[in-house]
Amino acid sequence: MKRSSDELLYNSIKWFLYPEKRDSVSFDDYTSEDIEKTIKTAKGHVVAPFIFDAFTQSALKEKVNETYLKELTYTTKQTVIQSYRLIFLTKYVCGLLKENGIDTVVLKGIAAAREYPEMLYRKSGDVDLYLLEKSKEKEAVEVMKNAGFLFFEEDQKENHQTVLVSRDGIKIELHTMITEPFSDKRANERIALFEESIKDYAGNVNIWGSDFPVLQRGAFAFTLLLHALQHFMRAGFGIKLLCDMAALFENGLNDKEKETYLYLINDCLLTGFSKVILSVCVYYLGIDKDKVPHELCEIEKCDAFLEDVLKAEEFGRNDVNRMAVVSGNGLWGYFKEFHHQMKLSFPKASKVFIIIPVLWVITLVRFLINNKKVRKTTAAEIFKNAGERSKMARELEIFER
Amino acid sequence: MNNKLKNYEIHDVAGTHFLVNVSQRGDVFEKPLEINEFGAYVCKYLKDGKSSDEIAKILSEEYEAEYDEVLKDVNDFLNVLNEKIV
Repeated sequence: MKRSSDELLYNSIKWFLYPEKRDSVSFDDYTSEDIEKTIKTAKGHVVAPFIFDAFTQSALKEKVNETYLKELTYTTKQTVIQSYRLIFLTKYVCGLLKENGIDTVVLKGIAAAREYPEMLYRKSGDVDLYLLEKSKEKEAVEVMKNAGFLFFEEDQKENHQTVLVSRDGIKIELHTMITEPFSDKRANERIALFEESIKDYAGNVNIWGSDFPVLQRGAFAFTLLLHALQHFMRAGFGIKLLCDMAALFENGLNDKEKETYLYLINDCLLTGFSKVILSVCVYYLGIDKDKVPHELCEIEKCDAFLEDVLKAEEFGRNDVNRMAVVSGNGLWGYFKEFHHQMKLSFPKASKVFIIIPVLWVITLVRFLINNKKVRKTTAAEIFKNAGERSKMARELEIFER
Repeated sequence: MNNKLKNYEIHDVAGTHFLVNVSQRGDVFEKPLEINEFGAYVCKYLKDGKSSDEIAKILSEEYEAEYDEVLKDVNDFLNVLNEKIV
């Protein structure tokens, strides 16, 4: 069902993303209720700064309640100041590691923000760096610890990143994998091959007189897609990730970048997922369809997908029943996903075959306790939600040969 | 002051003028300074190499105000700026 407040959100984002297309966006028919809902949704998806320009510069400004406007202005300014902090911290950490012979590329962060008309509006909370040589992970951690960054054992939960914290509390994640492993073995193998060749795609972008290491835009678009998929396969992701893709593709990929992107999505069996994401960007976020390097999918599929994104808010935190998407069919599919989640929780221990049943039990007990105490929902609700979202995943032909 | 401002840029974002040290290392964060429109003009002219007298002359014409009053405002702003920026 199309809601006028959602439409207002998309139009306000378009106003921000494409200043040259502002004449085609109308804000005439929206009510104060639409405005209120739009601000709330934008905040939930951490894209409030993206609607700031439309709400303060277009005909909308006459309709916005002063309190909301003050709140929106405050949120936007806070995001801008935080962005400055993260940009300079990124510059420092990349420089520090580089001086010590450790090459990185920025994942998301400034690499995504630079595609926007105002990069300071993209909200981010930490710095994500990918180590071009995985073998230098320990060395990188030592360099950072010596420079005063803090290392807490309890932060090291996932198996593809090391987390350090700056003295003012900002997390720096050093990644050795672009994404956590998926349940599809072939896709994981192809992504591992991409990681092996990632140096070939590394370059620099100059911002305010300083160089930042980033990936070539075709390869970068692929990493954004993987990031979106990683969240989609868990609890989902919000509008911000769609905006990242829209901003990047609207700026246009050159022929080489398009070729890289098409090769990578095809190789990793993600063409269907790319189609739905970029189609949503065309139909709802207004990117030029000629800038999409493949065909679009039907609008009905996009509607269902966008509804899932809207419900998710940032990384699915708005829906306690979301945990994962099951890629296979029936009970076997659920079991496979359960086994995969166990492996993600116990990456080292799960390699010891004999203790796997114990790890299954621990995973199950944790799952049940978390449902009751943290998520305050039931396993049945979670299975129901996983079933519905898994059906959508199958329609998107994710990892299908 | 001109030399001090060499590493600074004025960014107009979110309806605000920020004076930003774009050359900062990043280990210790030098927070951008929020300045008003008058301050943004003063910084811009300073970066263009103008003296406080010249700036006061330009701004007194721009704001249709008394030269002496504007010069005082310019100097007050520069004193504050001198304390705030590295």
